[in-house]
Order: sequence, then C-alpha cells, then structure tokens
Amino acid sequence: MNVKTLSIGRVDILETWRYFHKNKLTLIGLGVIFVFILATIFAPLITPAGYAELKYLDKINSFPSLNNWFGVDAVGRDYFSRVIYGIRVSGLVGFSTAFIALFIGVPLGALAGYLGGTVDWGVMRLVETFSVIPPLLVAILFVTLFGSGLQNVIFILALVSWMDICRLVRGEILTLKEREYSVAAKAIGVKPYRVLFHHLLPNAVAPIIVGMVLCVPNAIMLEAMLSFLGVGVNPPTPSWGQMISDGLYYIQFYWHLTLFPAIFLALTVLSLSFIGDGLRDAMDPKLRGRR
Amino acid sequence: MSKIKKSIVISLLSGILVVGTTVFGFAAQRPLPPDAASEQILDCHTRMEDGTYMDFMKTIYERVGWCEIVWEPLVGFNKDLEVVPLGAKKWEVAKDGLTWTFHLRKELTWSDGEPLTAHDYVFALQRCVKQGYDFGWYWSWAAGIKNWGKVEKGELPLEELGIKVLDDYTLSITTETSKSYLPGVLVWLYPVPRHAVEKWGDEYATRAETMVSNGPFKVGEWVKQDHITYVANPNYHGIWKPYLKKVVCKYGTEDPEIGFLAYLNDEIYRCDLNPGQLAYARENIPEELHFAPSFQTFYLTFDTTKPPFNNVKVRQAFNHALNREEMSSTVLKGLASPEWQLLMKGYPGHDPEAKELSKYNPELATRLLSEAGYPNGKGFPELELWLRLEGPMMPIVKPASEYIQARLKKILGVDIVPRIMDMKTYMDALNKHTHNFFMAPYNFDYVDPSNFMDLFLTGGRHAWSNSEYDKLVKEADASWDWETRVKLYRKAQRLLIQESPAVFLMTQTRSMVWKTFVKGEGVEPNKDGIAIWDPMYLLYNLTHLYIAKH
Amino acid sequence: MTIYIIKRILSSLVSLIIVTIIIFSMMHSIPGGPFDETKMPLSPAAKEKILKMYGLDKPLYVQYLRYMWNAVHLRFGKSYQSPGEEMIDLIKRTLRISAFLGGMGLALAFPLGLLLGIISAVKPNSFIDYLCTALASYTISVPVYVSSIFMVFIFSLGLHWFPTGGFAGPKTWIMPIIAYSLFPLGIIARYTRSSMLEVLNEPYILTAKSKGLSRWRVIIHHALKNALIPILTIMLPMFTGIMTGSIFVEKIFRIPGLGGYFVSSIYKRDYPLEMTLILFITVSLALTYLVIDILYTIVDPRVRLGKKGR
Repeated sequence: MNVKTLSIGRVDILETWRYFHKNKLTLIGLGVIFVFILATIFAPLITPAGYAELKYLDKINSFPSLNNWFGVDAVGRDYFSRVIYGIRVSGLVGFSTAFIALFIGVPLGALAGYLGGTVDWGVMRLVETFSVIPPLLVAILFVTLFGSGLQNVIFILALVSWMDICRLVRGEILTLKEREYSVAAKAIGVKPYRVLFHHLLPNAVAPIIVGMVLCVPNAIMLEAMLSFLGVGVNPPTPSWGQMISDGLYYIQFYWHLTLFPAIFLALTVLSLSFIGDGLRDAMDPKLRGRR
Repeated sequence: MSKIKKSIVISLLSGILVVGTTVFGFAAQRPLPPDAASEQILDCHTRMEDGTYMDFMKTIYERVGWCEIVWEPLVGFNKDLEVVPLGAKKWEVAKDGLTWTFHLRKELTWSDGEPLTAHDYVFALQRCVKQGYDFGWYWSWAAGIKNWGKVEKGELPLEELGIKVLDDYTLSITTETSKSYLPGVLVWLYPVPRHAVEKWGDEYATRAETMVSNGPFKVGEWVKQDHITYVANPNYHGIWKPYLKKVVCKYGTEDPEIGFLAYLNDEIYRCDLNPGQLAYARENIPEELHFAPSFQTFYLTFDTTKPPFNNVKVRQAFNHALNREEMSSTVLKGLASPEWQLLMKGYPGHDPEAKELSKYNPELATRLLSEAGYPNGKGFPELELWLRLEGPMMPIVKPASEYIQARLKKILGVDIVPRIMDMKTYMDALNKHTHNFFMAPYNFDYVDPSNFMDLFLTGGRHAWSNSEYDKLVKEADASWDWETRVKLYRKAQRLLIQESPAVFLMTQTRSMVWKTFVKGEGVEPNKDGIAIWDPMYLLYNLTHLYIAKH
Repeated sequence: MTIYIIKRILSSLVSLIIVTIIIFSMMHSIPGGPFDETKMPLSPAAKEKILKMYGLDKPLYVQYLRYMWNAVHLRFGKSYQSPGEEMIDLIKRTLRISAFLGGMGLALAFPLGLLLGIISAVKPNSFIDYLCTALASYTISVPVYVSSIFMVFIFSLGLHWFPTGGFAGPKTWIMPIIAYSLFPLGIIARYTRSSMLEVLNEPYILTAKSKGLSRWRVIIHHALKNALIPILTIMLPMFTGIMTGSIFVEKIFRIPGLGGYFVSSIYKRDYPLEMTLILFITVSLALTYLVIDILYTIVDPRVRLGKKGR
C-alpha cells in the first residue's frame, strides 16, 4: 500500500472515490448498507425483544402496530427484532461465504495464472469439475447428508462460489504477467514467488474486491432458495430466506410475514450489487474516459 | 295360449325388459337428488409427485393420489367410523378366537368384468409377503396374520400364510393371537386382480390402459404429473355407488400454498388450509370452512436406553415443563388441540382422568431435573429435536418446536435446537435408535385402542421396553370383553405416562374448505356433529357426495 | 486447435467421472432408501427383498459400474418414482415441457435484457440508466418464488386473466415464461451494460464516430458485436439451468416438468433418476463450457489457447 498517493496496488483510492460517487445508485447502496450495519450493531438498543423471545404469545401473527413495528410472527416473536437481527445472519452468510471462496479461489487462481502449464490445466479442470455441478442439487444432497444449519450452509455455498473468483484472479494474473514491470522484476532476479505476491497480486486487488462484493449477494440469495426447499438454517436463527419462505404459508392474510424480510433481502442484495458494480466501473481504467 | 293371455305375457315381458334396462342402466350409479347439477364432475387436488403404482397392495405410501376411490377393500369406514361390510357381506369368528370366516359378496366384479373372488384377496397378501411390502408391518404387527414372519423369511411355504380360500366366495383369515377388533383392521385389505398381474406384471397398475380395479370408480385418463381422471365404474355392483360421474385430480394442488389459489379460482373444489389461509377463510368464506379433529397425535419421543433420557426423572421433567394448553391456544391456535395421553379425545379408550398425570407444573419439572443430576440444566447436553419434513405438518410442527425450545430453555435451562430432517433420514434414525430426541406424529390406521397402544410394545419403532406394559396391552388386545379391555388399556396408559418414554403434546385439527355446491351425506356432519372430508374417509366421502346446481 | 479440443473433451470426461463418483457416494451415504418406513420399521426380510428388487444389495462399486455401463449405452433403466415408463421416456416427456417454457423465457429475456443494458450503457448515470438498472435489479434481488406467487395473486386471482397453473394451453404458459425470464433478464441487462460500457470506450469506437457514422450504427454494428461475447458466455450456461426447469417455478405453477424431480429424487432416494439427471446436467454444462472456450478463440484472436503465447 502506497500512502503517498493513497493507493492499494494499482487502485488509487481517491481516484476511485471520485468516479464512484458519481454513480448515484452506488451511493444509495452504500448508504443502505451503512444504515444496516449500524442497525445490526445497535440491534439490542433499537429492538423491543430478542429474536428468540416469545414475548407476544397473546398476539400471534398480529399486524404492524406501534408496539411491534413489523408485527408479530407465528411463534409470538417481535418481527422487527427478527428482521434486524437477520441482518447479522445475512451478513454472516454472505461474507463468510465470500471469504471462504476468496480463501480457496485466490491462491488457486494466482498459482494457475502465474505458473501456467500443468498447474494451470489442473486448476482449470478443477474449476470445471465444480462448475458443472448443479449448485442447488448438490446443496440439497450435502445438507441432507450432513444436516442443516448455518455452518453447513455456508460451507456448501462457498464450495459452489469459489470458481468465479478463481477465474477472475487467474485472468488478471495472466494479463499482468506480461506487463513490463513484472518482466523487469524477473529480469533483475526477483524470486518468482516474490513477484507473485509482492507485485502481481496487489495489482490484482481490483477484480478480487469486485468478485468478493458480488459473491455476497449471490450467497444470500442462494441461502434464500435453500430455505424455501427446507434446507437452510435452524430455528431460531433469523435468516431472511427462512422468514420469507415460512411467511409464504401465511401470505394470503398475514402479508407482513413475507413483506418485511423480502424488502430487506432485496435492499441488501441490490445495495451490494450496486456497490460491486460501482467498484468495478470505478476501478477499471478503461471505463474512466466515458464519465 | 289364448290371444289375451299372449298379449298379457308380451306386455309383462316388455315391461320387465324396460324396467330391467332402466334399473340396470342406473345400477352403476345412484339416482341423483333433485338439486343436482347436470354435470357430476368433481375437480380435486393431489400431490405434485406422481405416485408409482395405483395398487394399495403393492405400495401404500407411494401410491398414486386419490386412487382410494378405484379400489374397494374388504370392509370400509363411514363418517361415524363404523365398520361397513364392503367386499365382504358378513363374517364370523371361530370359538378359538383366531380364525375368521368372511363371506364375500358374490355380485362383485373387476372393472373389466372378471368376477372378484376370494382368490384375489389371498393373492394380494401372498404377493405382499413374497415381494416385500412397505405396509408389511401392518399385517404382521397390527393384524397379526398367522405365520407372516416365517413365510416372509422363507421358513414356511406361501400356503401356510394365515389367509386361505375356503371357496370362491369365502375367505378364511387366521391370526397369531386373538384380536376381537380384526374386522376394523381389515379396512386396508384390498384384492388384487390376479389375471391382470399374470398378464402385465405389477406394472398393470401404472397405466390407465392396463389398469384393473374393483372400486366405484375406475381410471379414465392419466396424464402424468398433470391430471388424472377417474370415471364411475359401470361394472361396480357394490353398495357404495357414487353420484359422481367423473373425478378430475389436478397434480400439484395438494399443498395449500398452491392449491388454495386454485380453489379460489374455482379450479378445484376442496382444499386443506394452512394458518394464514385459515384466517383469510374465516373472514371471507366462512360458509365453506370446516374443521375436523384428526386422530393424529404428536409426541416427543426419547431414546430411553442412553443418557440423558435413560433417567425417568428427566423425561418426567420434560413432561411437566410443557404447558400444552398455552401452546395450543397461542402458537397453535386453530391448528391443534392439546393432548396429554396417547388415546386422544374422541378415540375409543380415551381416559378423561389421565390429564392430571401430565399436568403443567414448572416447579415439579425443575425439581425433577435437579434430582436427576442436572440442576437448572447444568451439565445437560445440548439436544437436537428432530422434526420430520412433511409439507402439511410444517405449520404445526415448526412453531410448536420453537415454542418448546424457548420454554424448555426458560424453565429447565436446557438447550434444544430444532432441526428439520427429510423423512427417510428421520425414520431411519428413529427406527434404528441412532438419535435420541424426536417430535413424532402418528396417524390412526383403524379405530381401536390397540392401534396406538401397540406402538409402544417392545420391538416397535421406539427403543423403550417395559414388560408390564407389554403384558397389559397384549392382554387387552386379546380380550373379547370391551369393559375389560378399556380397563387394561387405562392401566397401561397410566404406566406409559408415568414412565414417559414419550411426551404427548397435541392432536392436529384439520381445517379445510370445500365449495358449498358440493353436497350429500358424504360431507354432512356425522353423529358427533362434525363434517369430515379427509383422506382417511375418502371412499365414503366421494361415493356419498354430489354436485349441486350452482 | 483440434488437439486442444480432443484434450478438453478427454479432461471433461475425467471431470464427469469424478463428479458422478462423488455424487453417487453422497447419494448412497444418506440414510434410508427407496422403501418407506413412514410409520413403522420394515422387517429385515421385507427390506432385504425390496433392496434386492432394486439391485441395491450389490456392493456400491458394482452398482456404480453397472449404472455407468448402461448409461453409456443409453440404457438408464427405470425411475423408482415412475416404474411404468422407461427413464428415457420420463425425461423426454418432462424435458420437452421444461425446455419449452425455459427456452421461451430465455428468448424473452435476451432481447429485453440487451435493450435495457444498451440503453443504460449509452447514457450512464442518467435517470434512464437508473430506471433500467432498477428494473434489472429487481429481478435478481427478489427470489423467483416470491415473484411467482405475486403473479398468481395479481393475474390469476385478481384479474382472472390466466388459470393458476397447470400445463394446458397458451394461457397457462405466460406466467411461467415470465417467471423464467426474470432472473436471466436481470443478469443479461447488467452484463450488457458493463460490457457495452467497456467497449464504447475503446479507441476504435471513437474512430468510427469520427468517421461520421451515425450514433446508433456505431452502437449496434461496432460496439454490440464486440460486447456480445461476454454476454454469450453468461447466457450459454443458463441454457442448461433453464432447460432442466426451475423447481420453484414448476412447483408454484404446477408444471409437469423436470425441475421437481431434482429434489424429489433426493428425498425419495430415487438413485437411477438422480444419477441420470446429474449426468445429463454435467454433460450439458461441460459441452457448454467447451463451446464457449472455442468461441473465444475464434472470435477474439488476442486470446490464445494452449501453452504457447502466454
């Protein structure tokens, strides 16, 4: 990281911000995520009850009111609390998946791109093997075999998401490999792994960040799909996907049970996608001229 | 013969001919009430998953939806849960109480016209025991057909099975132990068309073209996964002739979430309801709404052979820590009614005083748990409460489990994580005793206390074994005096509740809607004032209802 | 080039075999089997007979090899869930329906997505860009089952335009097709937008413009052609997913397609069908990726395949 010009690798942070904040949607997205993060940090302060507290047994399924802003769910829990704590769960699911995918995808992609040859071939075939597995099917198999629950869901989500990051990193490393500075570095005798880690990877940060940020909403949506099929997290964990699919039972009358988590899910996924898009647009030098 | 006599004879004969043909023409169908619509077609629902065979004696659980109406069992239920002689017209039991003789109705035929004989019933059970049948436990356990186990293992030849042909229309059934309630148990005994199986193999029951059955309806058209049409069977000569001409079952509409939408759009005429739809129906279509208690019990069951549940105090603590009344009036409002014993309210053998034994008493519960060595839940392992993934049960089972989770944490200090497992994984673990904590349902198969009480005998699906309980129940099963039986069952139940290998929670209250223009004694209230249109009574329902003008 | 293709096909075969072995092992590791013990346990004798009938009493590797051998000869046996027909017939009848609806959905999504993407790219950060992006984004941020149920409420129960489901004539096709098109629409629109943005900044576009070509000619003939490749690489894999049907759409609209079987085959332990479906999808996807890679070589000479040139 270069403090003088405030950059990480090739990515100049100030420049990026300049182009970033020109995109209003991205800014809105950032704002929403920021509010959500605040809400989830201060959750105990702003919610009337815990997400597992059966505080309102006498008001099962009641509609939004002054006491219960989002109403009450089927087991007597305050729905606003559940939705707000749900931010934590979605965040956990999304970011854990992204980190694990990063953990697997970046080293593999970097090695494949840099070393080429058999290593590249091997990694790409691994990528291909994982890519041809239908994610939903294998997720159901996995969860049926190893049980439902947050950890297993995150694990299987990561397993079906790492390939994109791997490809991105590999592609970037391939391009960067031919750049003058890396050739020069090799020429003056810098050891290969140093070249990879100190010169190439830092410059590949842009697609890694973008890949990660786009992986998060994907993971959250996949978890919502799995919950619908009954293979998601365990109660009483408040996952939005679970709440939406449970709420579908009651949608004809108790509309609030599906509406609020669906809105939050959509806002989160959208915001993260906009941020990801904005980052990608901003960090890509090829797109700068057009603004 | 004189001219006058001749004309009298001729007119008499032609009169008989006319009357005969009209009567015969109506033979396959019942005369319609005055307000009947011109088209007697019922649109109804069924699961999305195709069944495999349309043959009860090949598979019960995987059978094609609503095929109950193309088959007629030996005996049936009506809405008052009385045993009605359908395939058989009367029966008697020998002095030893073990051998029953059933006299079949001679006029019954298969849908292709072939006569229906005792050979077909014998063939059915023999095929089951030979091939491996998913409902086989019913015949060896509940009905106790003589030599079932030995014939299945190959130790005895097929002919030694306790079902034999005495003559073409007389069937003999022998049980291992005396069962006074056997006729009710035989509600699941269907004949199988031997001639069709010999010609087409078991696959005769997978296609409309080759299907042969003996019920009031027969298969008309079967478009896989789209719809299946049943039409009135012209060769049905039994006593439950239908009003309806056609029944169209549309796949995928059984789930209320999807089916109710079709119901509101008049695409199907009956639908089960889930809680959200219940509220909607209450407000908007109350005249179409019907409630029926079901004989489906839900209970928590433990593995009593290993800690922590090998200690009876732990189990009793769980029993007294749960407030069934509160649960049924809050999270399960309108969905279930509380139950404290195995034989639920309305079921024969129900014990009105047993409630006291499982009364809600949190102080007692906490004390019991301390005495068992886990004061305030300290040291108690974290448990997983396994639930069975079954679409229609989820709105009941899920909230109940979350309620139980919260309450047990609060009162006893124990940590429970409800987990939904798919059906087969769950049953495998339950039957093999590889997991220790389940919420299990059980729906009745026939109407007699033995159906439920036998569940807890040694060797069933529960690990618990108690010789005193076994003795009491077996004695009650074998007795022929109703008063004695009730007394023995009561004693056994109290023992069961005291030992608490299971904590009985509730029975489901089914809510459903059906269109107001569906009428007839099939959908009118029974002697308890309840109108039931339910899968367990399907044959009765569909042969006793008609479509009114609308 | 041909050597490359042969090498790829061989390695895809290896991937396929590995995937099938993994899935096969996972399938058989899940407890339970294609017999029902819903109420009470089966007697050991009965279970034995049933397993024997299905050929499940043989050791696992024998079952696997037997299945693969038959599969290569296109003999897939019978599904446990539908013993009245051959697997091939089952797949034919369901695939026809799923592929039809899914294909129509993609056919709807492709031009619409392109349109939204182009409009957004031509005027980035404008109001119309935000509108199109918002539209595309709705489709990827709301789960398809929610959208489907809402469609039934609005168009079926509310407006009475269509029946609530089933597969019987054009009226029942419209809502599922729209449901199928939603997600691809969003993805295609977003990728078109970013792809077009990249391309529109290339020097040759400037050259084309300075040559005096009209704006739209530039966009369509020059920019779009080059932007199309990345879009196609996104779309082609979607074919496989769409063709096999979405379990969600098929459940809600009661469509007798292939999607439902994916989940039911796991829950019912329908091993033959599961394996056949996996085989089907993996072969299809492997072919798709191969085609994409070849396409890239042909279209973009800057991308070299193989070991040389990197």
